Order: sequence, then structure tokens, then C-alpha cells
Amino acid sequence: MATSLFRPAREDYRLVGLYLARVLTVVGLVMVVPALLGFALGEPDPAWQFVFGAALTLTVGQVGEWRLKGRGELSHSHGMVIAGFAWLVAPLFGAVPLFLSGHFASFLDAYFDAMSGFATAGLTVINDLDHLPDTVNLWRHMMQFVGGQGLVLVVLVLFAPGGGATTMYVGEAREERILPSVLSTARFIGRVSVRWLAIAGPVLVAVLLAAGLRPWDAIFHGATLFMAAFSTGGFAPTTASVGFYHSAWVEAVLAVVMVGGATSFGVHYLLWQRRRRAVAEHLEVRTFVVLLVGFTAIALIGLWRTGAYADVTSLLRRGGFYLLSAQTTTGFATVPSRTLVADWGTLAPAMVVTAMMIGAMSGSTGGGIKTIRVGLALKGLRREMRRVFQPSHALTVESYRAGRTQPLRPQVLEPALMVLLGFLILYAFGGLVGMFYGYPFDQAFFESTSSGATVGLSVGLTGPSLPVGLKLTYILQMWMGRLELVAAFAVFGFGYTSLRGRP
Amino acid sequence: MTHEYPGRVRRRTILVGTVLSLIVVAALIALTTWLRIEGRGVALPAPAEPDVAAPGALVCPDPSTLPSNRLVEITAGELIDCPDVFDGRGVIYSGEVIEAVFERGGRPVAVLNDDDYALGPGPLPQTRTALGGNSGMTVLLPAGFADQITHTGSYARRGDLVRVTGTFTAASGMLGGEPAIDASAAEITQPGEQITHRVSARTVLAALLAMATAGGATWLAQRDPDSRRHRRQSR
Repeated sequence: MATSLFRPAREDYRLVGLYLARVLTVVGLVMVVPALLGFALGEPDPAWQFVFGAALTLTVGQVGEWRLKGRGELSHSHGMVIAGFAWLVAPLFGAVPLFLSGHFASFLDAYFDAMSGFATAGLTVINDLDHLPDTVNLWRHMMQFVGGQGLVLVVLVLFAPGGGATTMYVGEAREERILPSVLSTARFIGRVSVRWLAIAGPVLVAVLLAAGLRPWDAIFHGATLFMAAFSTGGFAPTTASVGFYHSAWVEAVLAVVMVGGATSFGVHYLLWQRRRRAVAEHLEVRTFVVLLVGFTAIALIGLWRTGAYADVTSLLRRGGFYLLSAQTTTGFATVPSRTLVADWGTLAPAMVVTAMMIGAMSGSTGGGIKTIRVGLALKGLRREMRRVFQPSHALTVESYRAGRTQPLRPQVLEPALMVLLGFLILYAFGGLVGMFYGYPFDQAFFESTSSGATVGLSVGLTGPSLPVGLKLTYILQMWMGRLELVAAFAVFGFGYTSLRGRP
Repeated sequence: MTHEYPGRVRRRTILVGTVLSLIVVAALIALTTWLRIEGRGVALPAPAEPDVAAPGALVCPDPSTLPSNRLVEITAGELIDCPDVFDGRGVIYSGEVIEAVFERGGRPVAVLNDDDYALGPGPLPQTRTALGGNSGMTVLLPAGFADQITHTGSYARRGDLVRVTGTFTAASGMLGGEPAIDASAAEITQPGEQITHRVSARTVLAALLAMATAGGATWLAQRDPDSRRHRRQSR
């Protein structure tokens, strides 16, 4: 087939390779932390596995740095391709210590969990999580924290390039530069995360201590839960997830952290500047709040009708936390996964799926279509409806507030609608594959949406016995969902032009 | 992509590069698999795939077939899949105490796992056998029973195995709507134990070698910002 696309040049491959090597260097350095913890905790076997994993990853990263170093500026396409490949390559090396731990039946399973970690999904196919070394458990949560901050963003902070840095940043599903430069934006995001850790971390440890955990366990669980909550990841140190603690206070603190993680860093910046009115009028904030309240209310009505909970406190606590976990795309659970199928009827799970589909705010650590796109689509719909009732020559203008008042332009609305449509196709694809494997419609679509929106809630399908084809499908969905499709398409395009492009 | 840069790449070179990348990935998997097998005794089998006839389906007993005045020996999976059938019914349940014992309303509360690691050969770190995910149920234990629990399950320990008799509640008001068994009696059927771990010599050796390689690669990458290769390119 003839094509007018150009094949990438040697310089393109070099630049992509160099930045991927830098991503691996960061992953290798982060892996040193669990290695040190392993020795400190008296878990030498997993500690050595992490030493091996870190050294191997650093070797590949540094060989790449040595062989590929040179001058050359990153273009828009480079940034997209690097961001896309980075999220495939980092889990490959992140999976090494997971696989060595023996808790995964195959390397594919370890890769599944590593992708789930970096993509901040939270779905897992691990065997015997409840007897996992703390060292490995910490790594699972650190992958989520690094993934939530943005893998490429971390590289930007360390290597601070110019040029295509912006597109690497955008490729990682962050549309909004909060400060004039990407580097200053990246540093601001780091500052926000550290401040949340400094405030919410000790509070979480305190409530875990009050719940009855031993001091070290409270510190460890507090640290891992914070990382999972703020990165809207959803991994937890035990199989029972947040339900393990049987504590409303733990759930309440985590709820606040989850909302913090699901909030756009642009909104965090407005809060930082004490522009409360701008926050209250922000389209994304309003859409998020309205949808969250609406979905939760409908789900609670559904739960009340099924009679799953006899008292209002139980209804609000179980239903409210679950819906918040779905909307923020965190994936923490306080009810067993099969309960949704067995005891929650149809309306409440349907609201959970809808909340997962839309997800968190753009430019946050969360996933899904993002509330700004839904807000813009609804504004566009309103404009079209108004147009119907107005004279044909009348000019219909719709505006929205996102920091400042902006008119709704086609350049803004069209990409939002395209990504929204792309996500719906992604969810449908996974659902169809699930049905191909014989799972019921509702369960197949629940799990597919959870992986595509990088949520991590499950109705019990995802586990070590998940068919290989579905594991591959969910890996693809988590990857594409985390990148909000665009950088994934850049990778496909790069592969296509490499093989079929004009020299 | 861009075509501003010089350096045309032949299609064959791209294919060779792709194949080499795949070989590197295969080597990575082979190396980690080799490191994992050493000294483990049991090769890790992949857990069986679900029943393809009806994956995801709920299989619940007909309540009329259950004895009305007798306790039913039950698993966590059955309780979660069929809450309506077992809600308010007397049950017997066994499981391993996991991680911690809490106290709620003057009663000890714990998650008891009844999966194959608890009731079968033992925890994965002990047996090196993958038997699937965990399954468990929250149990409100009799007051004062916490003192009898000496081991809670974790990487370092196999938890005490506890057998309880009590009533299943699909949504316990005491635990904010959580499904739980309100135990009237409990006994430790098998005390827990410390799990001994041994360090794999092969992993240590591989780690030391990898550290040396990483050190060498870092030295090469950092020794000269204008590396020889870069100077050659400039020329």
C-alpha cells in the first residue's frame, strides 16, 4: 500500500531511545528504595531481588545514555512517541522484582500488575497478596505514586530538557500547563504532592493506630495507602482493601486524599493562590461535584431499593465510599468484589460503571474520560439546543469558566468529543472481549471500564485465573487509558511509518 | 515523524532492530525465570482458568435444601456470592487470621482467610506454590478471644487457623454494613508459625554482577559529557 508518510530518521530513533533510557534510569533509581527497606526489615531475599532489578534497569538506562547521548531537539512527535513507549517499557522492568518474588504465575502476570501500578489502575492478578513481603508491597505502591505523578514528568524534573518537553508532558495526558514552563509546572506538582503527604500522611497513620494497627504496621499501611489514594491507584496492602481496617475514620481520611488526587493540579494551583471563587466557578469542579452527587444519590436509591443495607449509616458508608472510589478512579473497596453482582441489584452497579467511565478531573492523577470533557460536551449540547430555538441568523455563543471565562470554540470542543468517543470505543472493545470469553455482559463491561479508565474496582473477574487474552486486553486498555489514547496512537503511527513509511 | 534530520534508516535495519528488541525482552524473561526457579522445589503452576461453561456466574444452593436447624459448614466465597441464602443462618467457618486483630464494640474483629494458602499446603512464601488469590471473611470473635491468638498471617508468619461457629450477617450494623460472621464460639485448630526464608545464592550473585555492570555503564555514560561517539558525530 502506497503511503505518503515518512519513515523516521536515525536521529528520531536516537532521541526516542535516549529518553526511554532516561525513564529507565528513573525507574531503576526508584527501585533502590524497596531494596534498602528490604534489608532494613530483615527481608533479604526480596531485597536482593530488588538490587538485581534496580541494577539491571540502571544498566539498560545507562548503556542507552552512553550510546545515544548527543544533541538534537525534541519535536512534538518525539514527545508523544516517547511518552507512549515509556509507559510500555517502564512496567517491563518494574515487573522484574514482582516476578522474582514468586507471587506471579508468569512474567505476563507480573507485567499486568506493573502496568496496573504505573497506570494507577489497581487491578491485580497476584497470588497470595496477604503473605507478600512488605518490600514488594511497597514497590507496588511506589509504582502507583510515580505513575500518578507522571513517569515522564519525573524525568523532566531530573533532566529538564526544553523543546519537546511540552509534548512529552501533554503525551502523558496532562493538557494544562499550570505555570509558564513545563519544568516549573512539574516542580509545582511535586510540591503539591509533598505537602499532601506531609499533612495527610501523619493523619492517616494516626487513624490507623487508633483503628488498632501496631505502630510499624500503621506507618507502613499509612504510607502505602497514601500513595495509592493520592495517585488514585487503588492497590492496598491486603486483599480486603480498605474494608480490612473496619474503620470509618480511615475511610474518611482516605476519601479526602482520593478527592485531592482526583483534583486537577490546575485547581490545586488556584487553591494555592487562594482563588476560591475561581475554584467554585470552574467548569471541571462543578461537573465533578454535580456528577459525583448525582451518581451517588441514584446509586444509594438503588441500594435502598434492593434492601442490601438495613440502616442509613451502613448505606451511606458502603455506597458513598464505593461511588467516590469509582468517580475518583481510585479503586479502593470496602465491600467484597462479588457483592456488587450478588447483592447490589442493577442500578447501583450501573452508576458505579458510569462514574468510572467519566472519572476524575483532567490534569489530575486520575483516569477516565475526565469531567472537563463531559462538561464541555454538555455545554456544546446546550449550545446546539439553544440554536434550534433561535432565529437562523442569530449567533449562539456558549462560554465556560476554567480559571478565566472562555468561549466554547470548536478547537476545544472537537478534541474533547474525539477523546470521549475514543474512550467509549475502548470500553466497548474490552467488554466485547470479556463476552467472547463467556463472561456476562454486565460483568464484562464493568471490568473493561475499570481497566480502560484505570480504576481498579472489580466484580471478581480479574485474578490469577483470568484468561491470557483478557489479561492482554486489559493491559492494552490500561496503557491506552492512562495515556488518554493520543500518545498510544502516536506509538502505533511510529511503528507503522517505521515499517511502511517512505524513506 | 520528522524528515529534517539526515540519516536514512533502511527497512531491514528497522526489522533487525525490532527482532533484537524482542530478543532482549525474551532474554529478560528467561533470566528472571531462571533466577526464580533456583532452590524453590516446586515449579509455579499457572492457576486453572475458570469453568468456561459459565464464568462469572453465581452458584447458590436452594435455601429449601439447606437444613433449617443445623449449622452449615461454609466458605467465604459462598457467603459473598449468596448473601440472601445465608443471611441470619448459623454457620461454621474456618480460616487463617490475617495481619491484625482489631477491636470493635468490645469484640475482637479479624479477617479470616479460607483460601488454599490457609487451609491447604500453606502460604506461598513457605510452599512456593501459586494457588490463586486470597479469599476471606470478617469475623466478630467472642470477647476475650484475641488473647489466644498468637500468630497473624503475613510474609513472616503463617497465622493461627481458627474455627468459628456463629451467625452470618450480610450487612453487619456493628461494622457499618460489612458482611461478617458473628461468632458465638471459636477455637484455634492449628497454631500459626514463623516462616523461615532463605536467601537465594543465585539471586545474590546475579544482583552483584548486575551492580557491577550498572556501575560500569554509569561510568561510561557519565565519564565525558562529550563522549567519543558524540565527537565522531560532530566531525
